Amino acid sequence: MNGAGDPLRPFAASSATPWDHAAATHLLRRAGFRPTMQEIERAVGAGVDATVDRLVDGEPEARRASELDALGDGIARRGELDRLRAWWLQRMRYTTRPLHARLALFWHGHFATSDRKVKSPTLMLAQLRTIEAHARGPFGAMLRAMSRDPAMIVWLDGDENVRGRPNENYARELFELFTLGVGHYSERDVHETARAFTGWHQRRGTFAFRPRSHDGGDKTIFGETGPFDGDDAVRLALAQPAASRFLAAKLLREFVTPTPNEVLVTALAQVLWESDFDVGATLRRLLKSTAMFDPAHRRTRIPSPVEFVVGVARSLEIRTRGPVLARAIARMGQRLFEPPSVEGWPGHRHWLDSTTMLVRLNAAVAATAPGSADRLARRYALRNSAAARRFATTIALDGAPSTALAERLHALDGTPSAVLASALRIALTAPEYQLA
Amino acid sequence: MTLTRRDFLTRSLAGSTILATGATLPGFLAHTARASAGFGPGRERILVVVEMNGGNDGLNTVIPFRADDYYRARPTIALPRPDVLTLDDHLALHPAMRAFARLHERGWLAVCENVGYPNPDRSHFRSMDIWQSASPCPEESRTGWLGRAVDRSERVDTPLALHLDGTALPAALRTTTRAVPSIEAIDAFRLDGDADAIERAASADRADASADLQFVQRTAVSSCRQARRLAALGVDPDAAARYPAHGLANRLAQIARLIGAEFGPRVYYTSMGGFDTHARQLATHASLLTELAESIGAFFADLEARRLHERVVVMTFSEFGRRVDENGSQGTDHGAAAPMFVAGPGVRGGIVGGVPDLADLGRGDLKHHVDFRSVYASVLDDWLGIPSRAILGASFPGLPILRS
Repeated sequence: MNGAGDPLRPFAASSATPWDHAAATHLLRRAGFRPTMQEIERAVGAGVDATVDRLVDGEPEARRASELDALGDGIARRGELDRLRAWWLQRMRYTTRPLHARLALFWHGHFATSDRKVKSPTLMLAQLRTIEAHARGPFGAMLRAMSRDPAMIVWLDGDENVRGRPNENYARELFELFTLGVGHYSERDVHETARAFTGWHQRRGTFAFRPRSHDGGDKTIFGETGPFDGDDAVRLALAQPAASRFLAAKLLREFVTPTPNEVLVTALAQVLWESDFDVGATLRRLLKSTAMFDPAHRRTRIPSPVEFVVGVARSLEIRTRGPVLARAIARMGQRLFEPPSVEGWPGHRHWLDSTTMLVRLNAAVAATAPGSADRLARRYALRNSAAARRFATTIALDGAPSTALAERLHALDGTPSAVLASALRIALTAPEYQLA
Repeated sequence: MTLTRRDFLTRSLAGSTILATGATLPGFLAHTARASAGFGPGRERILVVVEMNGGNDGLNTVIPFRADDYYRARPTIALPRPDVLTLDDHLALHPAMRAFARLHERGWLAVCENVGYPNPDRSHFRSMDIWQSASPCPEESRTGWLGRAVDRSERVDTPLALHLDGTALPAALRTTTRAVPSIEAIDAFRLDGDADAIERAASADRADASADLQFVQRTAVSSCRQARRLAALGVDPDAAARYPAHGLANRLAQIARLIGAEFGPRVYYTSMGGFDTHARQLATHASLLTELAESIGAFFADLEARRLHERVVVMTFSEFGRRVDENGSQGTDHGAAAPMFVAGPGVRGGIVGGVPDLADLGRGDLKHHVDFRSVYASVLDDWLGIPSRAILGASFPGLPILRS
C-alpha cells in the first residue's frame, strides 16, 4: 500500500501539523515517558527521523541506570519483590533508552506472568531480562525464548505437560493471548500444540527438555501434520494471517491510538508480515508515520500508573525513592511482576475511577511542591512569570491549555519559581494531563 | 428530627440543587450527580469479605464437641469440652471467639458448616484460586467472582469494590474491564491539594472536549467529592476506641470509616494471614481466632454506633480446612472442607450444613456437604441483589442464611 491514503507514509510537517514542541512531546511521550524540556528541545532540533532512530536504536545507557541494573540480581536473590519492583521503576526513571523501557513494560503486560504463582523474584527477573533481550527483535525469537522461560513454564503449568497427559495451559495462551486472539484456532489446534510442548520443563529455574516426557508423534496444527515440537508450533502460529493483525492492533493501541481502525491495522500488519515480525523495524516505520502524528490520535490515551508516575518524575526531573514510586503506583492499581491475570492489565479508561484518580491527583500535588519548581526555574533560567508560565504549559499541556486553565494560569503572579510551582500544579491536576 | 452531619453531607451532594438544574448542566456533570444519587445512605447493602489466608483449622474453630472421634484424632490439640463456647447441641466456638459468641446470641452469626468443593486441591495457591475465581477450573477463569460483579456493574465513576490490605490484589477481585483500587490504608484517599480548585478546573466546560477528556473530567469531579466527604467525616476518637489493637481490627476500622463516608464501594475485601498451622498450633491458632473474632465484633459495634450495621454483612473464608488427625508436631496439615462465617444483623443466625462427620472422610479430610458457591450465591442474590447465575456461571442453590 502506498500513496496518499497510506497511513504509514512518512510524516511530513505542514502548517496544519507542524514539527513543533507539541509534536515532539507527543512522540517522546508515546515512545517513552513524559519528556524533560531539554529532551523536547533536542527532538525539535533533530527532527522526526533522527529522533525516532535514536529512540529505536537507543543511546549509551546512563551511568546511574547501568549501576542500578547490576543490583537487580542481588535483590531478586534475597527474594525482595517490593524492592525489585522499586528497582525496575528507578531504571525506567533514569534510563536514556525510554522506548526500550516502554517496550519491556509492554511485553511484561503481553506475557503477563505473576509472581503470585511463580513465587520467585529470581525467575521473574530472569524473565524480564529475556524480555529486554528480545523486545525489539523478531517476535518469533521472543516467542521461542518465552516458551523456554522458567517463570512462564511455572506460570502456565509447563512442568505438568507430559506425554499422554498434555496440559493445555501454555498452548491455549500462546494462541489466545500471545499470537492470534480468540476465534483464530480450534480446540484441536490447542490440544495438538500442547502435545508439541510436552517435556518442555524447567528444573531449578533452568529450562530442561525431557525427552522421555515429550510426545514425538505426529500432530496436526493449523492443518499441517508432522512430528512438531514447540518451535514448530510457534512458526505455525506466526504463519497464520491473524498473527500479524493481532500484534499490529496491540502495538497500535500501545503507541498510536486506543481505537485503531481497520486501515491502520491492515497497513501495520503488512509491515510486520513483510519484515518477518521484526518489531524494531516495524516500530521505526510506525513512529515516523503520518498516522503517528495525526492530530486525532494525540492525547487519546490514558497512560498506565507506571507511565504516569515515571513520566511525572522524569519530566519534572524529580528524584524520589523507588519504594515511594512503587507504593503510589500500587495505589493506582498496578503492581509490576503481579499483573492481575494472564490477560495483563486492561488499560486505557480502565485505569481510572474516582479512587485511582485521587491517587493520581495526590501524586501531581506532591510532584509540584515548591522545591521541584525552584530547581527547574534555576536550571532553565526562567527569569519572569511569562517564561515560567510558558515552561509549564509547554511541558505539561502541549502548549495549548484550555480556556478554563489559561485564565487561571494568566492570573498567576509572583517570582518565576512561585509562578512555575502554581502553574505546574494547575497543569498536573487538570484532567488534560491524564491524557497522553 | 435532627440531621446528622452525614445526612447533611449526603443531601448537599445528592440533593436537589444540582439535579434540578440538570437541563443546563454539561452532560457529564449531570451524569455524576445522578450517579451519586443512587447510593445514598440506607440504600445500598455492603459486603465485607475477610480472607483467612493459609488454610484455617475449621475443626478447632467450630468444634464438634460431642464427637469422641474429634478428641481421639487430636490428642494434644483438641479443645477441652468445658472450655468451648456452645452454639447448639453439637457445635461450639473456640474459646478465643467470645466476640463471635456474642454475635451468635444476638442472632447475628450464620455458621455454614462443611463448605468446600469436589476433588479438593490441597495446594494453597490452587485452592485459593478455586475459591477466588469460583470456577472449578481456575485456568479457564481469569477473573474473580467479585471481579465479575465489578465487570458487570453499571457503575461508571466510583468503584464497586475496594481492596484494603497490605497485600497484592486477590484473585477474587480480578476483572477484565475495570481496575479495582487496592490500598494499604485510608490515607490514600486524603486529597493533598485544594479540592475546590481542582474540582472547579475539572468541571469547567471545554469546547470540543473529547469523550475521553469528558470521562476524565467526570472522574476527577467524583474524586474531589469523595475526598471532601471523607475529610468532612474526620477521625472520630470514640470510633477508634471501639477497636482492639489488631491488624485486622485496624483495617476494619478504616472500612467502617469509608462506609460512614458513603465512599461508594459495595464490596470491601481484606485479609489476615498466618492460618497455615503445621506445628504447635494451639497458642498460634488461639491468637489468630482472637484477632478475627474481636476485630469483627468491634467492627459491628462501631457500625452499630454509626447506625450502619444493618447495611453490612461480613463473610469469612479460607482456602481449605485442615486434616482431621493432628500431625506429629502438634499441628495440622492441609485438609478440605471447613466452616465459613457470615455475620451481621442481616443474617439469619444459626448453623447450616450439618455437623462435621468424622466417620466419613476423604483421604483423611472432611468431605464437603455445601459447595462454597452456594454461600457466594446466597450473598450475591439475597444480600447484594446481584444475580449469582451470571457471576458463577451456573445456578447454585442458595442457603437460608440471609434475611432478604
